[in-house]
Amino acid sequence: MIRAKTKRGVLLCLPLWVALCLMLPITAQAAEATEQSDTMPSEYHAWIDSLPPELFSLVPQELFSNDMEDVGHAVEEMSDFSYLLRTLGSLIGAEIDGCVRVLASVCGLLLLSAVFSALESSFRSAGIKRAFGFCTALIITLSLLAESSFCLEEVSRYFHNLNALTATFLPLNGALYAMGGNTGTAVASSAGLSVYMTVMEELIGKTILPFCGICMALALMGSIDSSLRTSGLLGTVKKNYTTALSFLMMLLLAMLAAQNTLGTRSDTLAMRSLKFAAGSWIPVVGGSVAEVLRTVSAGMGYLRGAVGICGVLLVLLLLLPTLVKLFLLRLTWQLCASAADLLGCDREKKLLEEFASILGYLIAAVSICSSVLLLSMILLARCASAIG
Amino acid sequence: MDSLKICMLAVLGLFSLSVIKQWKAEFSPLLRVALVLLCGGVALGAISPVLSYLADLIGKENGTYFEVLLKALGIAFLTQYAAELCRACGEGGLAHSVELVGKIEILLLCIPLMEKILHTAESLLSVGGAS
Repeated sequence: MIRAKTKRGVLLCLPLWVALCLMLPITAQAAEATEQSDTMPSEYHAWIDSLPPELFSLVPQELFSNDMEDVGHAVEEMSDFSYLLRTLGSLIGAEIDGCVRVLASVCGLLLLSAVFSALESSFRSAGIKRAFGFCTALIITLSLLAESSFCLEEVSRYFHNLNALTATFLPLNGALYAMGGNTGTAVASSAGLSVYMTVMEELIGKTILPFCGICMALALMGSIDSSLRTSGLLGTVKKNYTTALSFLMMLLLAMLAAQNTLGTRSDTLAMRSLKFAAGSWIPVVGGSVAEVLRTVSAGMGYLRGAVGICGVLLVLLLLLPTLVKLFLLRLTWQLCASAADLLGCDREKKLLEEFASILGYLIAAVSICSSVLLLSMILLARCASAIG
Repeated sequence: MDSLKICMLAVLGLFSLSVIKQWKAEFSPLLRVALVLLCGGVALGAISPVLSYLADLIGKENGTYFEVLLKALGIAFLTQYAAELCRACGEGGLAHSVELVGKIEILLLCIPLMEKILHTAESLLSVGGAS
């Protein structure tokens, strides 16, 4: 009975609701669509202008366009994963495109050299064979030089900046020690190390480029004609420079062992892996740099506490690009030398091996100077925090 | 098929030469020269597509060097042909002179390249001082 009454109530209310809805019409009308502008609004350009200028080279140029479609293309390009990888690679110096281009060009030149060597062997007259071989050697060497890339200007700028930085740490340390009042102890413990590191960095920075220039000039002369035996002189110059570098590193390690300002990280598995990697990848003085890395690694922990992880990353971004670029270039020249060996181009193989060897010395010098800069920074941070 | 034709032409030429040597020995050097020029002309015609392909491969950047290399190659082949022809006619001294001229011509082509290399070596030796 009650259920039937409820149902009747609902049935009576329903038409009332419908009538109410019909009596209260909601006015709706389509608004006229305003014409969409094809140009970007002024707020967008104000935002673009507020970006730091250093970012302009990292973003597509279409982003600065006034046309909406161009900006859309730029945003689409920037959203692509390969673009992000490329930008990250350029920040840390991993310019793989350039290295692949050099590899392809040099392989083409080596193929040409192999073809002309085969033609040379078809001449019966020894004199004509020798003259044509000389001409081919000159042309292939000049073409290889045109393709060669050592980023010597970049390395020169890198050493100049590093030397300037390390040279400023010394007077800063001195001032901080003087402010602290414990100059005697400071001089005994860490001033000697600071002075030695500054001198070492200046010495390596000033001598590495002339050394590389001499080696390249000798390698060039030796590649023109097999009768010009410059390999002996080249070997002597390299051996003596390696001895000098090893001696400097030995002194540095002795000073690090004698001082007590900078601690060393314990010989954990991670540390041993890092030492093995450094010893294998860094030519000439890899073992010594691996030993210094123990002190650097311990100091980086301290530096992270002083300036934060961002500060440490900034320092690494200062040092990494040149090192990574040199590693990639060395790998490229080694691959080119292997290709030359494959094609039977012995003369070009020697020249390309020399190029790779010279890059190895550059890597060694850059690694030493980077480690020394990090040690100087850690010493400065320790000194500053001791005063504070 | 070109190589077959050239081989058959060379063999026929050889037979003709041996016959003419017996009848008119003074005409055999002329026939020899004619045969060598004919074979050389066919070889040059066959190699021209290869040379144009190599020119496209090298591109414009190394075009000047490629021109020098081709000139040197041409001089070397011509000199060799002429020297061999002179030797075949029994003129060893003339063959030697022809070879000498060819070598000098190639070395003259190499002089600008040597200058460039020496200039590069000089700039490499002064790279440390400039930095």
